[in-house]
Amino acid sequence: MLASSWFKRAGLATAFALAAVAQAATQQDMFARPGVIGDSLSQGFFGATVEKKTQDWAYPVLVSKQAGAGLSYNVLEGPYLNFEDVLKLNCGPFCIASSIIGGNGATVALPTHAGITGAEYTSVLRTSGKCADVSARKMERQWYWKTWYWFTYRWVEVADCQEPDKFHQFGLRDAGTQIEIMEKVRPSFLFGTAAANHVLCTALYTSTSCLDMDRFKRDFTETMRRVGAIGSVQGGVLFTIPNVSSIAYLEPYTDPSGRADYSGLKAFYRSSVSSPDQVLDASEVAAIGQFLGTMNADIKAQGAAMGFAVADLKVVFDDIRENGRPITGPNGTAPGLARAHWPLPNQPGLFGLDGVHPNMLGHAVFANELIQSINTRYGFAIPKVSEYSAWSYDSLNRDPVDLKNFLTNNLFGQFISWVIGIFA
Amino acid sequence: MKRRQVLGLCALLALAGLLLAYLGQGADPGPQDGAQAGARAVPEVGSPGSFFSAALGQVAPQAAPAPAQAPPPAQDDALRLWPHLRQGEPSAAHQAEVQAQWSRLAQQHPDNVYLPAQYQAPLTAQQARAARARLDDTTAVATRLAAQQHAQRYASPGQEPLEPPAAPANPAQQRQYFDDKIRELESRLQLLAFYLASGQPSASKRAIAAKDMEQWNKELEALRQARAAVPAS
Repeated sequence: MLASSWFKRAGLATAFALAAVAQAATQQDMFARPGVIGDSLSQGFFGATVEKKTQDWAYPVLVSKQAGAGLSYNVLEGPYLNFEDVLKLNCGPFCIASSIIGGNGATVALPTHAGITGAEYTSVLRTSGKCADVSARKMERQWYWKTWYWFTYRWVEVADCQEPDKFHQFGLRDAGTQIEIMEKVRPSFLFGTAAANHVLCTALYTSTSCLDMDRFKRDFTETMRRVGAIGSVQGGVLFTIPNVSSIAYLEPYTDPSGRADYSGLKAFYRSSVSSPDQVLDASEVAAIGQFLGTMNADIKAQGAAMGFAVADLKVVFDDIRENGRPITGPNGTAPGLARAHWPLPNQPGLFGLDGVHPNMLGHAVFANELIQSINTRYGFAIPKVSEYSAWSYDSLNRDPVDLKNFLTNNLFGQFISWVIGIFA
Repeated sequence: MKRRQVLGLCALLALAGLLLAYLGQGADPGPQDGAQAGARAVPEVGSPGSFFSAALGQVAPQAAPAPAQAPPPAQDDALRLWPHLRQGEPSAAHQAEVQAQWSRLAQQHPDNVYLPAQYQAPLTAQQARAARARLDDTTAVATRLAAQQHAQRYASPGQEPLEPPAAPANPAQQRQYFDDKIRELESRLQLLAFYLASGQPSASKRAIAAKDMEQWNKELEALRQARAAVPAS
């Protein structure tokens, strides 16, 4: 009797052990064909451009490489410009002109990485490399012989295909919308977050009028439904959106006259506030927080429903903002704490010069948080990226530019206009 | 009975071995949940004790070695992750070529806004203040226009556009915006013409440039017409 129950327990333990072995063995299967939908974070936008080096350092590319896999994407050469290279006089007139107009380096027929700067779940569904909105329609006259003697017209509804922005043109080319591309790619693992631009507009426009929860819920749900319907996806990762009101683009401001609606968070480059439109006051910051809370709850719920890993970057970013991100090198070398800001002399930083997007170090941190969540969720052992290496080799951390010294630069206003305009 | 015991023992040993291997990889703590994070009591942005409570530049810098003095990290892995590192730093020849290009552009178009500061007269304190005020005005208008466009981005066919607000924009601010935009667009067109004339762009770049320049010229004309309509006060 005792031996019988002992054998049963051992058998269960063996089954558990075998199951564990089987699960650990499927990292290779799950990352056989990773796919990406996303936005500027996934594409590697770096104030204010996308180019090969920034696409290579973007978080999905790093995670995939560490998992022993790869992604294919259309290489961009702009549009706009890399402000760091311009300020450091590494990009001259020819380089700037070429970058402003944009174009492609290497191209692929069907990219597995379809994340595009400026995208959100609505454009994941509706914006291709050819049409700003594949669902848009217009009425057109169609002439035909109504009878054998009567040539007339009728109104017919046709697709209204208007040229999209250059990021979509060069990033997707003729492969379709982001979700259509994934339906063709049939990925085994999906990087699936394109939520940030549903709320980033509040920081860039210092206004909450752009928030649209109904559209986010509708299009996020539809995107995930179509992802689920692909049938090939074995796993994936989503992440919650950090508090956009605490990015480096915004800084606190107190109105000298003490007016509550003129005080709050303003764009870092503004010297003063002349209108309530130019700040996010306390009530607006609270409204953004509420929107984020609902959005992030939806992301977590959807991730759980799909069996995805969910990285809680809202919590991670709050921690970095408060405590910094320790960077530790070999032999215990500690360059210091990286802050949620662009790098300053002797002060490592995670942001690029637009105060919105991560730099090379920021993407390494991003990737590691996703790796941690994937490993935890699936029991994998994907190695992390060395943040020390990323800090050491990141040109902006190696040779910081204090953007506040360039606010009288003629070009700076246009740089900001491009950053703001991308999300319009 | 004995055989069963042996089989069970083998299974247990296998399990123990697997568990040891599994634990040896290091258990990563899962992401902190909201309750744990809340317990740390992250202050609101701008409140005392948060990073943004201090003005930029007033945060005490950490005593950290400059990257050049820190021990170099492993190169092989870095080159795998960040292939652009193979190119190395820009060479002296490259920087000399960049300077030569700027010099030629400055000779042709001395007022081009893309010229680096060293090719322009240094700003006096008054000019610097004026430049900051101009930046405030121009970005305020650009932000307002971008927000307007964003609000109407997904308008359905036939949906009426937003009505202009009852209170018109500040004429001086709007005029400043038009002046800056016109000057930047003119500079951009000069830059592109300079590039096309002597930068040896590829055929595909020429095609994109031609299309862009046509669009920018139309935009320039529209801006000049709108600028002319701004009231004097």
